[in-house]
Amino acid sequence: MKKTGSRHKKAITKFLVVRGENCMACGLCARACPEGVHVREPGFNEMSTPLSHLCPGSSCAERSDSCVAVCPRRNLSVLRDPQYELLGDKRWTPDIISAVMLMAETGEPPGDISYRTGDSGDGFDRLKLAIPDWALDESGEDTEDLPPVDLGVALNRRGEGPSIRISVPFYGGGMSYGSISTCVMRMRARAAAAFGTFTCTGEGGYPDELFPYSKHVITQVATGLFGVREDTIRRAPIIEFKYAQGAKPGLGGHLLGSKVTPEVARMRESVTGVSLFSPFPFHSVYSVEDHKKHLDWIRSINPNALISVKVSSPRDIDMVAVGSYYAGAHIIHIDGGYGGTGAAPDIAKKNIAMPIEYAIPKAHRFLEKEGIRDRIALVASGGIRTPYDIIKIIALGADAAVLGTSELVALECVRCGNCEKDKGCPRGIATTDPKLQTLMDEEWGVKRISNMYAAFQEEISRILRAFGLSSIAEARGNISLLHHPSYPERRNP
Amino acid sequence: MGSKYSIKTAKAAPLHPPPARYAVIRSGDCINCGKCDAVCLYEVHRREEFDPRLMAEPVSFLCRRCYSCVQRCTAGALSLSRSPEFETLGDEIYAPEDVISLQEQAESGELPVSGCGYGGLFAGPGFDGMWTDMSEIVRPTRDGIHGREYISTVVDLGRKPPDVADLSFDAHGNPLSNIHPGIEIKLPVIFDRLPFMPGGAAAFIHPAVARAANRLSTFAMMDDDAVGSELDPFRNHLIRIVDTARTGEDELLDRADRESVIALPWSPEIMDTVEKLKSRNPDLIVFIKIAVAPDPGELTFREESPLGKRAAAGKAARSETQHGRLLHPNGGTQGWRIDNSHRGALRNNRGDTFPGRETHSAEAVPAIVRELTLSGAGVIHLDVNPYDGGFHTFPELVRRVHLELVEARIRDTVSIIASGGLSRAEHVPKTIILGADCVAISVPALIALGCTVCGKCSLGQNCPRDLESIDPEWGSQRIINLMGSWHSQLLEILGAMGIREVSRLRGETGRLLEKRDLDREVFGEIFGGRDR
Repeated sequence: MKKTGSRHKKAITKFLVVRGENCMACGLCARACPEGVHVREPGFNEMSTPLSHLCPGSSCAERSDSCVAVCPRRNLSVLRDPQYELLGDKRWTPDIISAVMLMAETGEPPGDISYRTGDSGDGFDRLKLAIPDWALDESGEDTEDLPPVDLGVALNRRGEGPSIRISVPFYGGGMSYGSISTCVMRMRARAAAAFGTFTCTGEGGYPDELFPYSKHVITQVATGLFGVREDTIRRAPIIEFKYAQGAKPGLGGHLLGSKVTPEVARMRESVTGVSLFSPFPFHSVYSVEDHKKHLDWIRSINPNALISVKVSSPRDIDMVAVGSYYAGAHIIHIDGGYGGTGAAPDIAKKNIAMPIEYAIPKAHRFLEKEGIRDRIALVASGGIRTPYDIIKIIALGADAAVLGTSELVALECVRCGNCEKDKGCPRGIATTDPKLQTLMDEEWGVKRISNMYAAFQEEISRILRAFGLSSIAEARGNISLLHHPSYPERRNP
Repeated sequence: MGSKYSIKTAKAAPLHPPPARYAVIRSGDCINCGKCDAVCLYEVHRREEFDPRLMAEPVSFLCRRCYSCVQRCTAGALSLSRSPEFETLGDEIYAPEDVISLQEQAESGELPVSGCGYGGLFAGPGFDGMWTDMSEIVRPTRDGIHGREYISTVVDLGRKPPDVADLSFDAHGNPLSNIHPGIEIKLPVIFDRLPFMPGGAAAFIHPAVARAANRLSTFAMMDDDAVGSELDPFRNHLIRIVDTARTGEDELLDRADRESVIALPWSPEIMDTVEKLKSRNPDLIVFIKIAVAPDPGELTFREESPLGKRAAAGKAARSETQHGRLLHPNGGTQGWRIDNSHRGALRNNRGDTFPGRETHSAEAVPAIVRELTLSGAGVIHLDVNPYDGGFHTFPELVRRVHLELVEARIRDTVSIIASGGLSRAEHVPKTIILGADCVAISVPALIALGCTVCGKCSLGQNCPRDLESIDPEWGSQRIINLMGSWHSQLLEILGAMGIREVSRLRGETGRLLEKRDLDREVFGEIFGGRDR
């Protein structure tokens, strides 16, 4: 792990460490601080501006050996930064955003930040792990001598064809070229390769820049069929059929004309500057039989690929899951309504289709009843933010989770939601604008995403250890890991 | 695309800079380097016009909270906070974010789009505990939105025969049965009487609303005495609300002669009046408006009556406590201090649509609607007071009225209009799924014009947004834009479900996912036990 700080001069922090004008640069603060807030660069005779985002806040500042206490000139103070409260939203609270950013910076679980739940009031934010916090905290200590927890997940369970496993119970979701730049796609692919997992091209074609990582790249066949060619299908170990996406269930994709640069247009085989609609649904799929025909088509082109079917979460999600299995899918990927990274009508994000917290247990239990649960991998996405959410969705019945927003937050997305306006992301992440893209540096991004993956990996292992489990597979559908406050007296599992 | 399937919108700039969500603050540490200007995509930061060496005050309303300037400022001189103005917008029904969003829709005519998924509460009471269904494959396409296939939002209102089988024809194929008159609206939204507006503003706002109703092929309801000759060009899209208690019989019959649609407040004898009017003009369509109070059992009374005075006093006392939180802490310096009393006045004004008419408790309404329908009513308008929790019971009321009519096997004979604090496009399809034929709105039309529901006009003060003298042409475009945006959003919901006509959505609760059901079905089953 390599420490990879913000690209910006100033981080948005919960606490502000303020150094007054009386500093004599004695460096006692730097010696007192275990977090590295205070630094004097070699060769400088003044202290650098305090790295406030590393400060754990008043709990530390009140101690008798804190920087505030040891400063001989009483020149330091620790305050709450009022602009911190404006960061994020109910789902991605300021604490969750800064925890993920901190994981991306340090590669370790984020200490004292309370990021286990957000403020959305229900779903992941109401479900609790059925274990006290102290037990979780303790299980993180002295883990070096313990055997590693097996976080691997098999994605092909049909008993034939290639065996593909991911080493961590998550992979990167589809974000198309056009909505993000090739630079960001490469960051994601390289991090995925380093962790033995996957990233997904989304529906905007398969840029040449990803070829070196093709063993870790899923390519998508979506309703617009942008950039879908036989050679891209032959190259991918997993082909994802995208019927719908959680952020806009039942609606197509929409790439604004201003984002269709000449490169994007070439990749998608379309016209520069013209808005692209990815229709909904597949106009050639009106039944499960049609669906099977499409999967057969992929199989005939690339018999060695696994096929993933990405759907949204309608009322009949259980039937959709079973239908996909019988049509030949290896992976059923349910994308719940509250996630998503790209542009979507606000009305669709909040109101259409059910949240993933309902859809996964519904599909999981129905697949069990049908006796085919162990013959298909069920993966979940749509509002899965943290290692805690990953454990919760797996305990509700998923085999693995798919991440999107978390990776962007690792790249310092502040969830301002302006991805689709004008040239795209003002922070250079979700954009193909040549000037804005320069805000991203590939090496930096690879480290940030890898750090976050590493922290997620460690946190998930720690949670599983706390429950006395030795593999993620034991957590799947294991309701005893969860506590729902509305149901205090649970049946024994 | 046929005019029946689309709404023509055109950008209409606001009169005043729109309210700001955030405040960008430049401190004295600024060294005027211009870095903020270079990194901001939204033109928040500009140099002073009179002295380009200096940076100007940031234009906060353009800020989109990307933190770029804050984080990249050379001198650490910029910070971001919630705009103080934001907290003063709207009230407990029209939330600050809704006010801004409605105004943006009224400006652009486009549906709100953003990235980054959903960031709000998981669910909430009433409409916020409901999701609409979608279908993965077997369905018609939603591409009406992009012009290839049309989704119709037309709704017919009026009395209909109970069953097609009841129709009879003579030898020439002409109908013998009484075919009731009906009206067709292009969008399942009607404009209701505006509950408040600045003094003198009616002369400009009413023409704006009437013109918008005309162009949208829907209707606007207005008090009889508020309809002047300036509205004549739009009279085919106006519905006069005639208060039977204050209108003489001759005048009433005169209205029946001249109008094709009128609205009457409910009273126990209302169907007698309707019959009298119909005998005069068989083609007359009558909307019966029922004012509904939020709490079961709560009635409000005409203010001049002793009971009314007592009820008003009780209400004022309640609003005192409930609205305390709306006060801005720095009242007077930034924004304006919201006095509790005019919130109360505004709410009474809103709920008690007809001063001098008893308001009905939600409990009593389904039976009243059934009786009215059985005695021949064609269009019934449930006008719910959204305040004091009314907005959250509103969905349940609509559902119960619908089911009451279904059980009596008379649902298809009558049209139900529902209103009660609808503030977002999503409320339209959800109200219809629960059983209404269409909705009525009022305050969103005012918000489209720039109103922030500050309540000053209810106190007789000047409107801080200058609504006293708007250009009706501009105003109608703003309202049309808002409805254009709602129309697009309605299509998204219908398209996702694969439904091509909004009239087929009515009462389709099978296409509604409700939190309480999902909790029971999913979590109840796996976690066992009973919901506390």
